[in-house]
Amino acid sequence: MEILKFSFVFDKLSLSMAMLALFMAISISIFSLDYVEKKQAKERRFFVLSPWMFCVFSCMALFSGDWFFFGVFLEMSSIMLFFMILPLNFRTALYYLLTQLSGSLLVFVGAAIMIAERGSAAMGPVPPHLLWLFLSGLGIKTALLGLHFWLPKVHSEAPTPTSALLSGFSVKLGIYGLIRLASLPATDVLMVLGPSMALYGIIQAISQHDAKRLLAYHTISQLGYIVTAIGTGTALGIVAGVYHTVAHALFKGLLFLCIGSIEKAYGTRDLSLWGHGTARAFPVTFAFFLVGALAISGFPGMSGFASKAMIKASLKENSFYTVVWILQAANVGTVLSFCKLSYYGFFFKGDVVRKAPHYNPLLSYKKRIFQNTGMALLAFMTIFLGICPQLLPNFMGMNFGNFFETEALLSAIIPIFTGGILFIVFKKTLTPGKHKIYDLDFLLIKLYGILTLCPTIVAKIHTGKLRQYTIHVIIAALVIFFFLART
Amino acid sequence: MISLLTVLIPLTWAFLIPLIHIFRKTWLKRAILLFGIAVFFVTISAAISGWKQSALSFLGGWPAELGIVLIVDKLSAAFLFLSAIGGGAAFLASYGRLKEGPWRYYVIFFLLQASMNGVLITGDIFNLYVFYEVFSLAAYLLVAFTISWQAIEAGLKYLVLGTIGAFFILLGIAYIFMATGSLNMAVLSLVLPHIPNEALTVIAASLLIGLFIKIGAFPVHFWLPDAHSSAQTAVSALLSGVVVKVSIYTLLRLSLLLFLETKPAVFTVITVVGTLSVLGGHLMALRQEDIKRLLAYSTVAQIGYVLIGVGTGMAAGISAAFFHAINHMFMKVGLFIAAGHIAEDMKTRNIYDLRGLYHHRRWFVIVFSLLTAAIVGIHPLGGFMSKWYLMLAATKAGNVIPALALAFGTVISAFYYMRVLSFFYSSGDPPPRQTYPYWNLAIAGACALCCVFLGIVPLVPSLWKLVSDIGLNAVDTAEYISTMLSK
Repeated sequence: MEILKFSFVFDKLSLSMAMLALFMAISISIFSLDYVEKKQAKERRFFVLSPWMFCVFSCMALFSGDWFFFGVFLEMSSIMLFFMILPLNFRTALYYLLTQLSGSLLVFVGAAIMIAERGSAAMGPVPPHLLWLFLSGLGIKTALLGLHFWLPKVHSEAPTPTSALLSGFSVKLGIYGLIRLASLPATDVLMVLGPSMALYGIIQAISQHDAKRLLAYHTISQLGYIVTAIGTGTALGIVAGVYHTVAHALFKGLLFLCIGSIEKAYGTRDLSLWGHGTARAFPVTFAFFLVGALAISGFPGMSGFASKAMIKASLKENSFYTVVWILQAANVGTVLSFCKLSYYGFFFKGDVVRKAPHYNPLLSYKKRIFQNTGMALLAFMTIFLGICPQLLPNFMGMNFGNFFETEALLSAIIPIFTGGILFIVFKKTLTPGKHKIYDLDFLLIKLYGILTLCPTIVAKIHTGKLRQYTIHVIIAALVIFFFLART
Repeated sequence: MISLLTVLIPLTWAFLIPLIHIFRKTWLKRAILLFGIAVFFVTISAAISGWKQSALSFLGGWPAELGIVLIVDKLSAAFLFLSAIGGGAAFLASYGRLKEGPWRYYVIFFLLQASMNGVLITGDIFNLYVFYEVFSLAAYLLVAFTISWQAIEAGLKYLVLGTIGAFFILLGIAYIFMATGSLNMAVLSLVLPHIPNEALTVIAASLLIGLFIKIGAFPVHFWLPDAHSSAQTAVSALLSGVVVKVSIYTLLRLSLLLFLETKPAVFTVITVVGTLSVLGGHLMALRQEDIKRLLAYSTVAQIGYVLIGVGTGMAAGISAAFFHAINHMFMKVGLFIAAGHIAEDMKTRNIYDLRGLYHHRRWFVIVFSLLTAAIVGIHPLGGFMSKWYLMLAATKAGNVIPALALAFGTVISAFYYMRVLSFFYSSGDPPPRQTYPYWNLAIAGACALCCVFLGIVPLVPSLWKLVSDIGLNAVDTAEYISTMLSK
């Protein structure tokens, strides 16, 4: 049997992803210095150090040259995040661990079959008959439509630094895998899944009243953009996908940190309990939030604009015009739901006097230097990438031409205005309420009920009576005998 | 000659102990420790002597066709090594707790060791049955040794089902003798292809079902959870760590020698039973609230993993199976000793009542967590590596469904082991004062360290060669036959 040999792959794709991982780790670990109180020294140390551990494992995953080691380090990075969710919520952490384990195990099975057939499982396109294993394995990681059930729950219930890492980088490891897979049968599937994810995420996000859950659904929708870009399968599409991956990591990390720090002050994520001068109490946080919100809406001058422009260009290049329109519609929805989030989260003054359960004035922004530094780093990079949009495509060896053309500007600004106008019209309907919102995880609970029947049925044969056990033995013997006699 | 000593020495000790008890009671304490150490070293040296070159000893000077031959080839040597380590750990655990107290216990213990070694080295199929019966009887007695009603019931169940299994094996051997007139395994391997296919079917079915009962594979495993959970700590560790492995050795040896060419369907049966064991064992473990019972059902599942490896019938699969067997030996010996100590210390085996253990028995819980991580298959530990090689071998043999079952089982096992750990790490009432933890802690800790060490074995070419040689040697039946019949 062959021994395990680690092989490396250093190309521009993995290097740019690794730089992103490093940057996310830096800013989130700086943020974490303020996230946990100084008194809880142990937990504070853990939250500051674990992003670095996560960064190490994800870089190993990015640099590993075959699917097996990719799976190994994918699993280890998930385990690191599992430990980062653990202090707050055991059940969510376990849920996360089990879903991610099943994802990486599917990748392992795929890699094993690939090794059995070809002798090696180098990172790259896989044979078409193994695609279902790899796509579903990586799909759990990337929250492809249908496999996204874990994401909203985990992202919203994790501690803030963990949410930022999860949304910022953890799901991007799956995206990295998908980019490596990108070849013909895979890209067709991705092309279908991408736009539908973008739309589905938005439709769910608009109706949420839990601030972090809303952001989580935005993650699904933005991942849809990336998956669509990869689905084109062209060089331009892949660079566009990487660009949006980087941009999304930065602004979504920023948004999660902003919303998380306000959540900490209010002690709730429920949007209906926010508002009433939040913007005045947290001006710096609000400014950062605005940067993130503008970036995710694709406002010119922000990173989101440039990456979305590239995605659209790559789609037009292959004449997927319908998909472009779907993405534009999703963008309108994004603007709409961010209008909702900023209005109800930061400004809204209703007729009913609503009071947050425990607003903690000690958590005011002025004493939170590290917290603000962490967010400032992410905000800076978001704006920087928006102002110099050529930087990343040039690094990846692609010359995109001019980003700030009239057509591109118009196609970015029109959805923003449409979204804004739509929000003003439908303001009342969008008021965060207490209604229940259904997603796949609701179905999953029903399914879990059915699944628990399996052990019950198996347990039925353990009667504790020796005569029945003897009958089992005889039946088993007969089955084996007839099977052997037949062959 | 040394191969004969591995049987004779423990057998002599078993008969010496009552004599020492009668004539020199004060010597007993030192004598038993000395005997245990002597057995360990004799077994290890027999393993080493057999590893370099197959060691043969002809009892009474008769040629192989007529007399009994003891043969230690690489496969036997590997399992002798396993039995020496596992038996030594169990001996130390029981000596640490019981001291020289119940001398009858040590009589049975050494009888068990002698007969296990006998099974591992014999080259005669009827002799194998005799040793098999002696070791089963010793195991029944050891299970029932603590005269509590659970232990007696478990021992009785084990006795009845084990006897049924033994009758099936005897039936198979009797048919073999009627069909061929020979009992030497090498001779049988040569003549079995010439007997009628129907007779071969009956022989294969009886041997398989008998061995499955003894192994504790899923549809006929009913004695195992009771026996392994009601026995005392050291006995549980021995049963789960070593005794089932000896049965697996027998299955491996017989199926490879007798049925590899004549009846390949046998291996299909083994794979199917292995897959069923994985699923059934894990699903049953999911329901358990008794920690030792949970571990026992986990043993059923882990045996299933080993059987999947055996069922490939290829060198890679058999090496992986042995690697998993030795990993499982360390993990389960460690887990049973840690869990058994905790259960005896806290006077409960229910996991709900073991809440908050981390705050009072810190080191035990840390060791337990490490072993749990190994058995679930977290990356750098031994359990992960052996599962990966099993998966690789299974897919190479074209068994994709067992590979998927292996992955699915891993997810379930993560679920129930995490549930146990969550109780350990939550807060709870302080337990009664601790009693003599050192022996058990040291043994369990050493097992945990061995799991860490086994994780790096596949990365070191020279060590990995040892493991892969076992499989190559095991499938090379021609060499076994020529060695045996050389005289």
